[in-house]
Amino acid sequence: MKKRSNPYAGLPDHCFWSRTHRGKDIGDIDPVVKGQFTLKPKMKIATAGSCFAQHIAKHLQGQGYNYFVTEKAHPIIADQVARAFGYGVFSARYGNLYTTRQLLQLARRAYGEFQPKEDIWEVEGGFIDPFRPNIQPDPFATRAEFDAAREVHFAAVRQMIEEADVFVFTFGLTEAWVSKDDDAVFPLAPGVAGGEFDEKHHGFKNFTVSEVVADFRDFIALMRARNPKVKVLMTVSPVPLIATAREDTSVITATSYSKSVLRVACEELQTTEKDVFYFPSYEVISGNYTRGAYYSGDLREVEAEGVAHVMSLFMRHYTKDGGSAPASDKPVDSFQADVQKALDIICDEEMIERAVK
Amino acid sequence: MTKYKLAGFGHSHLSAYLRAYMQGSKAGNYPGLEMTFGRLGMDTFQPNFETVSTESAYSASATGNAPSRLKRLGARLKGGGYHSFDALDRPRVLTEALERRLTHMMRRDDPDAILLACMGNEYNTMGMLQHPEPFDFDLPGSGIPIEEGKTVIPYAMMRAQMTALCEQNVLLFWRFFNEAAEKPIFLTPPPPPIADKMHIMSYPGAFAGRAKQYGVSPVGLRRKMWLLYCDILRDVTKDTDTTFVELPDPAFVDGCLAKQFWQEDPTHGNVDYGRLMLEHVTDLAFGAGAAKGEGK
Repeated sequence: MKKRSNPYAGLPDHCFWSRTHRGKDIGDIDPVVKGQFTLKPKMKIATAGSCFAQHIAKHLQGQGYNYFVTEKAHPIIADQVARAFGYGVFSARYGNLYTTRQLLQLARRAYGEFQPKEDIWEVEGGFIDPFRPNIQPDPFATRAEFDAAREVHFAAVRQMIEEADVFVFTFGLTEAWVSKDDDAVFPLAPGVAGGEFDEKHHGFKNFTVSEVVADFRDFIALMRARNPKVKVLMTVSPVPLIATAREDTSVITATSYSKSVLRVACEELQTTEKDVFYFPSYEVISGNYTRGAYYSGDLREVEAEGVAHVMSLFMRHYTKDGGSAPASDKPVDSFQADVQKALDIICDEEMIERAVK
Repeated sequence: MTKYKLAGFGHSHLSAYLRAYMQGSKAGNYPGLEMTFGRLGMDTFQPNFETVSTESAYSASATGNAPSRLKRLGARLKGGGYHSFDALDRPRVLTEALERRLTHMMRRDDPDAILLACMGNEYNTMGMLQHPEPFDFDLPGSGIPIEEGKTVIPYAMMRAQMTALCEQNVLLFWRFFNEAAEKPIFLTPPPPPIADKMHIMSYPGAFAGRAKQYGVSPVGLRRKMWLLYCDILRDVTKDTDTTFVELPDPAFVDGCLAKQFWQEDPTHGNVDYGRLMLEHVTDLAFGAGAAKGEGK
């Protein structure tokens, strides 16, 4: 090996700030460098995490990859309606999982290893799940409906854990509200979408790097005990906090803390866990080389061009040839189309003819 | 004697009214009524629909020059309404040509009231034939039990699905007339289901192959679908100037269409049904006996 004059001599261009973006359109900048494995069309790809993970799911599905959904609405329900009820947004109907503690908690609950004390909120019109309070537009109408839906959900979570080939998790937040009685973590503070906030029973928590790392490690261990070969891909959501509960802190600095913790946690996990990799969608969107171009007017939501840049890098580095999966012969649910055709025929032709006789 | 003008607009379920009026007026039974009909399934009214982009709907300003059908859609989308079953997520609206023609007809005919019998088979697309994955749902207050062994769809989701279907079909027409008509509107639901599966199998029409392939759904599910459909229309039109027409008691036996009103097909009422409904609607619109000249 040729002796280098200094440790930086001969390093690739992507190691140097000035070379990585000079003269390039922002859409051409590639912080990924190299994919860590290759997705195959038949691989079951599961997603979970914060809102940003939804983009990944939608894009993979659109490109013909096997987006693994274990909890589906009845086929009679149109996609748009199903999504409004939380189906297909992630692999199972868990809603946003903002923190690693929530993810671990969900897995433990699905396997009967943890039963929170506060696990149902009665509201006007029915019942709300404290751990997925916005999963559908209206409350569950009856306790029986609530319980049945939860059992189906846990079964779907177990299937996702046991059968996914790839698990993509988007780390969202470090701030959370927890039960002081049993450390259960709520995705929304009690009182916001249901339940009642009670200082005696509810407290604020801002997770640290070591806590985030420990929770995710425990989740991976739980998953790998049942699914040893699953690969894990981590991303950090580039969407700033909508609010911080830290009264003495600006949401700007609170966001910086959260994202820093999550990013450092991902780095630590990547370097210490087998088959756990970080994908830099956070840097693609929020890197200062974009000059904020990938954020919309509210400086929170990510513009379509930003999502497209992330997904083009993902496809380039994680798929063969960087393109769509070959078309598969998926059966189409044509029942309703069939019925509609018959009704149209009856209605428009035969009846009109009879009407004029 | 006052002669009332009633304009009927609709698709195949308008046929029963048309035949009842033609027969009845020929026999001199309706001296107090003059009807015109817009049979929207006919070629001359086609196409009824076109798809548009959600962007065009969202950007249609309430005060600008955008077509009213886009403004109506935009208002509904902004309110979080369901809008599309299109694979490219494109909502549909009535065509500009159709709206122009309907507006012209209303101005030309200057009716005293409008009867709507538009679309009406939305509930049948979900409930008529047995789905390969049989399902059921609980309809609160109906007293109709859930069938054992079926996948139970939560009521809220079933209502959302039926609402979405209605918004893409019957309600497109009602929203247009509600805005454009300036006359009292009487929105009629389709007939309730025919209980007898044998009748449906005997007169399946274009359903023939499919009815054999899938089978006819249990009557309980079909009743619940129809009741849910009616409830959605009732709910949407409350607090407006539209009267949702509750079907008269003689139309029913055990919650289904009474046998004397069955047409020789799976879903429609016959001319006797048309007569029952025509007289019911004209009584509501113009006073008891108005069509027969017994009113003021």
